Amino acid sequence: MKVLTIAVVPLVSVPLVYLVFRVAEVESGAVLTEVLSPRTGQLLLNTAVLVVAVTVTALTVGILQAYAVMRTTIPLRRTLTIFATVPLAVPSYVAAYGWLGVVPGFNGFVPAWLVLSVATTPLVFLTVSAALARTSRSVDDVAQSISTSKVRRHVLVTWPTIRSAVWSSGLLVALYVIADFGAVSLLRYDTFTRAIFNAYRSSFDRSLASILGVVVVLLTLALVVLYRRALRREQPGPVNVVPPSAVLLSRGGWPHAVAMSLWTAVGTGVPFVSVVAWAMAGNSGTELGRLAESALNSAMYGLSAATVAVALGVVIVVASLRYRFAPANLAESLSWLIHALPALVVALSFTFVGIRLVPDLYQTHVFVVLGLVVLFLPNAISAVEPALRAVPPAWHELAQSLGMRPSTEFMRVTVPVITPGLVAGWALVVLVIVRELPLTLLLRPNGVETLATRLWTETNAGAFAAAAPYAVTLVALAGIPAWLVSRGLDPQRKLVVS
Amino acid sequence: MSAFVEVKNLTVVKNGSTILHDVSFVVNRGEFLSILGPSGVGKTTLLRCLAGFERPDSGSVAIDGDAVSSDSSWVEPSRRGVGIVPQDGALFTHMTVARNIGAGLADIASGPRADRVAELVSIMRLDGLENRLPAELSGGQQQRVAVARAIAPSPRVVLLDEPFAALDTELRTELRADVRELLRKESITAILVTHDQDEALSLSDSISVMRDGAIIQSGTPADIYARPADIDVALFLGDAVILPGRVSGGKVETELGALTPLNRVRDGDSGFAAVRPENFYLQPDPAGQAIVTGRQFFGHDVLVTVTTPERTITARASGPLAPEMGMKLTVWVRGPVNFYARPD
Repeated sequence: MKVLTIAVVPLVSVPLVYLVFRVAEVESGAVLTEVLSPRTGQLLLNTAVLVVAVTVTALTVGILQAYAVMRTTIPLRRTLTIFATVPLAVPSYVAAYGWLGVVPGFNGFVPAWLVLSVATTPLVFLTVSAALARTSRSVDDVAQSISTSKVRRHVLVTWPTIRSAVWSSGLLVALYVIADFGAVSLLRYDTFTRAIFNAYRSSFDRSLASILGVVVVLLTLALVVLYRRALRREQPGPVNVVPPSAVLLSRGGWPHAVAMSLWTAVGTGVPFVSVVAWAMAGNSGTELGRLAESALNSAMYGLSAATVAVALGVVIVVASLRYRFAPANLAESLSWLIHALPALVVALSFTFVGIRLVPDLYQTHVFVVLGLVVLFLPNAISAVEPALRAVPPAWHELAQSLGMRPSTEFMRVTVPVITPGLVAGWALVVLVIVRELPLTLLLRPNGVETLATRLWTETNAGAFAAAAPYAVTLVALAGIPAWLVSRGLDPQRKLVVS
Repeated sequence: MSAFVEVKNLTVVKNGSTILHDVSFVVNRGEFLSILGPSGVGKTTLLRCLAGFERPDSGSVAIDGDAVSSDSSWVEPSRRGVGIVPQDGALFTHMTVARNIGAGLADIASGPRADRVAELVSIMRLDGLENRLPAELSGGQQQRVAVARAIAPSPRVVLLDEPFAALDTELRTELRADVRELLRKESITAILVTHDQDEALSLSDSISVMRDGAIIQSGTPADIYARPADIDVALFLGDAVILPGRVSGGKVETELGALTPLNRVRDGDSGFAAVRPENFYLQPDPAGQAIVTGRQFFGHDVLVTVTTPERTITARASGPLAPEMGMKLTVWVRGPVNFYARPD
């Protein structure tokens, strides 16, 4: 177990090694000129504008949705919760394809802003809803008895409750926008990721792509540092609370419900209908073979990478939880750092390392799976950890006192307890990997296509009918985790009559 | 004295079940009333109706002559002049002690506000903690801040929802005394809901006993303790031994002899007498039929378990004179007892 844990460390440090190498090269004058060129400035501005616009929009809409569902008397609460989470089922590049299918020339800032805002709002909605569920009735009561002003009551009660959720989901959204590659490249809005990809594709000298990658990494790190600062003074809130009484909305809350539905109807409804319409109109009969082939590749990558990632996740979590093995913590921290980086940059680092260190592995299936494992190790760890935490440490000692050896104890006690949680976590990781685009696009062996890469290629070529079956399959697959997430969030389920 | 808080026929129905049923009571100006009852009888709902966090289905609440809640009027919580101290304190976790105490004083100038905060900090013995966050306080300190915050705006009534329940005995006694002192000093009318009979008996000017959403008895602590309305109240207010008996010639005939009834009785009635542990007299008697089978030492007194031919009795005896295990006794009842006739 310890050997495996130690073996994970170099794997998850690949992107960091790459980063260090690249920063070391910045000394040469030519590189500096490139970094300081007006083109880089323009990319920085484009990316920053998009990040700010999308983050502000997603936060505003997401917070309003969460407040409406969790704290008010809005009608159709369950339906609206599903509406708010439904965009999770449509990967942003699929939504981009859908919009392009109905609005030709849907290019530039506004489309990119719209598609990414819709795609990221559920992240805010889910995080802020969970925080609002912890609103304490007694604190709300005190605020009501103290202040006549609605604004002051929100300052006293609502804001402190959701503040850390707002910061963390805001960070998630910003990172998502910086990392997004599929949507901005299909919608032809020049951000760093799109420029990196074009630089990587258009020349044999990959240093330009790498330099831009380093800039993106620095941007990402700046955001993470900012976030840590903001959360430093965070105070723990109440754990188990009686929910406060719902806020009465005017006109029965129907205008609010309509506004909430409209956001999803336009943002997700339009691309969804477009995808379905193209799929019905298309001549997918001849394409069936290619669809099956790419679905098979997707499944192969998803299944093998998820299995390896979950297995490594179990090893790392057990080593860290039970044996407090230091390298396990290191591996965990490193993998979270990678999680914050754009997948495209992680992919770049793998091509860099692949070409220079292991040319035999480069552009093989194994290499793609390795990349996916590194990229999705945090997902696997967070899926595995709750299952493993469900086994009380005392059982371990108890089993020993009953005469079981550690290996016997693991098979007879731990495994039966963690298996259901593990299987569910594994299935989720499979589905998340299937929608992955940039890393697969860069690392795949020549001629190998997955669902995501085919959708991307066909849409770029304007072949909407040909792309449709892939889009439908992806939405169906992505819909499963989205459905699970929306079911896990049953608002006001803890309503207690006192 | 006049009725300062007047609650009339308050009824609350939630999801088809009646939480409060026709609750009426009055509290005089400056008085301390305890609503006493086991958990889940609607005490918190009653308090929330008084504060204005909940709208009753019928009935009315008036404070100092203003109808704050009735069929025709409704006053928002913030305009009722009511301070609340919830069970969990409900401090604003992001604010310091001083800012929490000053939270209800937003409308007054910063000079007088600081003075008032300082005054309450000193009365509630929070000196030196002004700049701490709630997470850095002990449970007792948090409750002190919660009380100070409720009292700071000088409300007409302060509502206390079991604010001492989560504290250990010593802290609780200390905090109760300080709160009582503060309320007296500011002459604020207070309503406390609690399930702790010692707390209600020791703190209050008057007590209303609540059961199943209704008030079944009101009176001074001494009244209620001496003359519980029925056997359940008697048992709730403290330990009591229930002896079957029959009224004959103005006395209650029981297995422990003829007892003097405290309340009015009718010859020929049969029912139960409630005897408090401190009303037993345990006379050492080698020929006695009762025997000591248990003994719990508390220092100031001893709870003695005595087995008689008919039943097991818990009696309180003073420390040095308490009988030892295995000792044979004759059990007497001293003083009058309450008798509850079985309904015909």
